[in-house]
Amino acid sequence: MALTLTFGLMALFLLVGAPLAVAFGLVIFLQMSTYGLSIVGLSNIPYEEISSYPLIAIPLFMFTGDLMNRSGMAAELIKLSDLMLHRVKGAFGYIAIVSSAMMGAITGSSVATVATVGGIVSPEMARRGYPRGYIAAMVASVGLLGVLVPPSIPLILYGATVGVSISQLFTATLLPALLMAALFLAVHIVLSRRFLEGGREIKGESLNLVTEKPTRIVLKATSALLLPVLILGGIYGGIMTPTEAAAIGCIYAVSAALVRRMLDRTKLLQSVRHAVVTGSGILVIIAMTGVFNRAMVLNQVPQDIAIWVATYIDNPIMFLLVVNVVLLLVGTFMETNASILLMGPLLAPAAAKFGIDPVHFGIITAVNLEIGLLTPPMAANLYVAARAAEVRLPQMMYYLAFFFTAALVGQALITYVPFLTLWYR
Amino acid sequence: KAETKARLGHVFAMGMPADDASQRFAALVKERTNGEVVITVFPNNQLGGDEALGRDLSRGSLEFGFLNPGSLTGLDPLLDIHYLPYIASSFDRVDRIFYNPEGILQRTLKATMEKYGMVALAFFELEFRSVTNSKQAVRTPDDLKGLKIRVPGSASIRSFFEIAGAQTVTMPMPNLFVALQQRTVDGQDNGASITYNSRLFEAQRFMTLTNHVYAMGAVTVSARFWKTLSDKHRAIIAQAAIEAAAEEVQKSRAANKDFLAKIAAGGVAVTTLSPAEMAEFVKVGQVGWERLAPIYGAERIEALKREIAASIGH
Amino acid sequence: MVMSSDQPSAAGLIMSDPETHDPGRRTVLGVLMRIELLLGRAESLVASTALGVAVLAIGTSVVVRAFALPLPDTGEWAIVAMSPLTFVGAALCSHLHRHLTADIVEALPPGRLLRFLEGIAAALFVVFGLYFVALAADLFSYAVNSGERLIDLGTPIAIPVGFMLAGAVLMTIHAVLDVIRACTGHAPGGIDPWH
Ligand code: NA
Ligand code: NA
Repeated sequence: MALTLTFGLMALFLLVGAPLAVAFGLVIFLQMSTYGLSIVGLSNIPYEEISSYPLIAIPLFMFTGDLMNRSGMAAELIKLSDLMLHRVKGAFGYIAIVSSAMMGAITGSSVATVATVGGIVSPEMARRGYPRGYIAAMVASVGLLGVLVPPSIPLILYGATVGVSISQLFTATLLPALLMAALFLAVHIVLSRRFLEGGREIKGESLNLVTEKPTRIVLKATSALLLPVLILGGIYGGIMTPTEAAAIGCIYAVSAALVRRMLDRTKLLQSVRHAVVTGSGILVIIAMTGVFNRAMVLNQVPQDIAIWVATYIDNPIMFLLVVNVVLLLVGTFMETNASILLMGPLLAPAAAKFGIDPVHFGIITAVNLEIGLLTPPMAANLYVAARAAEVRLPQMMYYLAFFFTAALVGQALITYVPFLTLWYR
Repeated sequence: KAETKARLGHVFAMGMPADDASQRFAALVKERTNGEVVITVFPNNQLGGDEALGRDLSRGSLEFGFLNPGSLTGLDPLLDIHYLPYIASSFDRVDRIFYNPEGILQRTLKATMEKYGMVALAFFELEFRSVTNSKQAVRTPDDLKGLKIRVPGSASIRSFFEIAGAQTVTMPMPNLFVALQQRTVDGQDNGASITYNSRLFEAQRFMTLTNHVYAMGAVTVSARFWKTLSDKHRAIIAQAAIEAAAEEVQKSRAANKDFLAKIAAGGVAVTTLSPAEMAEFVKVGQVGWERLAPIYGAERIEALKREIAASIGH
Repeated sequence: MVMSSDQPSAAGLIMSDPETHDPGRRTVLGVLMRIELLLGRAESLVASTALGVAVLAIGTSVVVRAFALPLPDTGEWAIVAMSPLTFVGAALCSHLHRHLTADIVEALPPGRLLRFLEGIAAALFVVFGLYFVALAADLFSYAVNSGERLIDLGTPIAIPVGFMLAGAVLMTIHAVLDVIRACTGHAPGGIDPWH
């Protein structure tokens, strides 16, 4: 009863246009006594929730993405990509997927991936004639590669809480990442023919591909290319954690742009403001999700769901199907990392009873919850992509249906074809 | 009679000895109060980390916690007095010094927690800390020289490694696995259970059972809640805490052996120090105590030294 | 261009329309909005500084570690900066009317229904804000009374928690003004602080 009221109120608040943070926080504030909570019991949560190293990377990557874009360095990268891919139809689908995988290898988070890739490719895709809803839907979806390509924060959390090898999880996620990338690319190839005029991108005049020499394009793009090299090299060379790489990336981007006189005070300030507004908009939601999650946890809601699943189902195929649905539901309303911490340890023992490998189950769980980032109301990928592409959610939904279906197909394959995750054994 | 509902939070994963003990504690309390006090356990950081649990216990918005006081030094630096390096390097010494309710360690921890509205009912085992790294086997304090070791934010632990000549790096736990795997740091100093359960051993090649610090947790109740209970309930709960904690210590030691075996099976060379080798580490470890006197108080350190001398006399 | 924060965009992320937004100095709302503008500028400054502090603190900690400098890890300042960045930044989002929403109402054409719903949403924000102020004030009083510090550099948690309280108060002020704006038929959001 309390739950019905909670979700009813939340839907109502969202419907009248209350910010997500307000909707998540207020439903719990108004029902504090129902949930056995108090001001004192809740006051620590928003502070605790955002005082986190991994989260710092979110505004930092937003800043770098915006600065790359505003200074024109991202355009140089795009020119280079275009130089290499200009014979391919719908080149920007490939570019978005490749760059999401690259950002995925940098960030460990799909929201950060969407923020950076969305920030860089969305304006150019719009110039090339893609509908804005299409751009946002695609960028939000391929953002899943941010987590599927290692390193991955949700997988680290799963490995640590369930007691599964994290390096195995990182190996296990490689084929699923490739599979998802291939599925999204397939959707893009089919859809871009349909939604681009004449099935081809408009080659933007801004690019001057005709007048510029290929060597010049390559030369100019070098300073921008160095950024992923620096970040990836920093992480895999053992010098930096992802959050640190994000900060060093910011410093490098500012320095490079300043040295090349591609940045003035106004542009720098604009990038800072962009990072502050988009970053805090997301962080305050995470803070309030913490409040909401606490109410759910204290009332054993996710635990009850898991117990129900483990009690009433007796064959592994059925179990996995129900798990898929449950995790998708959980991912719809809860943030990925919090859901992993909660659902992983609760469902993994049940999965083990059905003979499902814990590494396999870890990937299933993570992919499932990540797909939840595409389902409102708790759909960070959608909101971030929508902001980057300057479009509203309803305009994305039609296109999103295709990508979402592809993700579900991928999810089904990952769930029922253990080879995809356990090939290395 | 009306039922009193209470919540218990802790950071341990399900199935860990400390989690088992918390469930056992809840079950004992329910049974012995005839269901008048019912405790629900929230394991695995579900109610936040130790700092958050400490804040909630302190303010009475959480009733019980299986708490690691060593993580609460931000509240009071005395809360990790038991992290002074090499107070004891074997379990039988630990039992005499750490599990002595009249000893300076328990008295200091209890009094300090009380100051912040928390009552420590009993103490249980977390673990002896070890050193793991990806570079070289560590048999002498000299082997620590030049290693980049991640340490928790504890003045005691940091000073031990610094005196040994290692470079210390403070870094939050969630970053640690990646940092080890990517060689941002060479090593870390958690004990067998955390090293195994956080999968840190996968990114490490060597482990030495240095036993430089023995960490214990406290079965904690919020003072605000404690005051509302009847004497009868308080006695039952205090007794249940002592029993659950004592069982935990035994289980933890069995589990510790198990974790070490699994870590070794994972390809890590595990070194157990001989008494002579251990004595070298103890020497280095105790050098820094004077330096830490401003934090922990010279009298407390003196009292601790007397207890150690007495325990050797046994 | 990505969501340039300095220009109202065509896609509906409207924050400031001088015609409806600047009722002039003479009306009560006009005076209030001038004061709100000062708050918006302060929020922008605080949150932007926090971002800079986060970048520099983390950058410094990398350098300190890489060169084994005898300096403490400055990562803690980045954690401290998260509080002003999140909560004072969220107040700035309120001022700019740029919070993330489910984006349903924004699709409505301008008119009475839209103003009505904006008023309802603003009122909900006021209620939320009052609760959040109570929460933050409670934690702030604990932070001050307990003297709890962060463990690496010993920063009192009263500093980040203070920013949470400030952010909560500021968000509520903007929400109250949004209610007034809705009642007087003006679009939500304050005057652009960056022009
Ligand atoms: Na990743
Ligand atoms: Na979702």
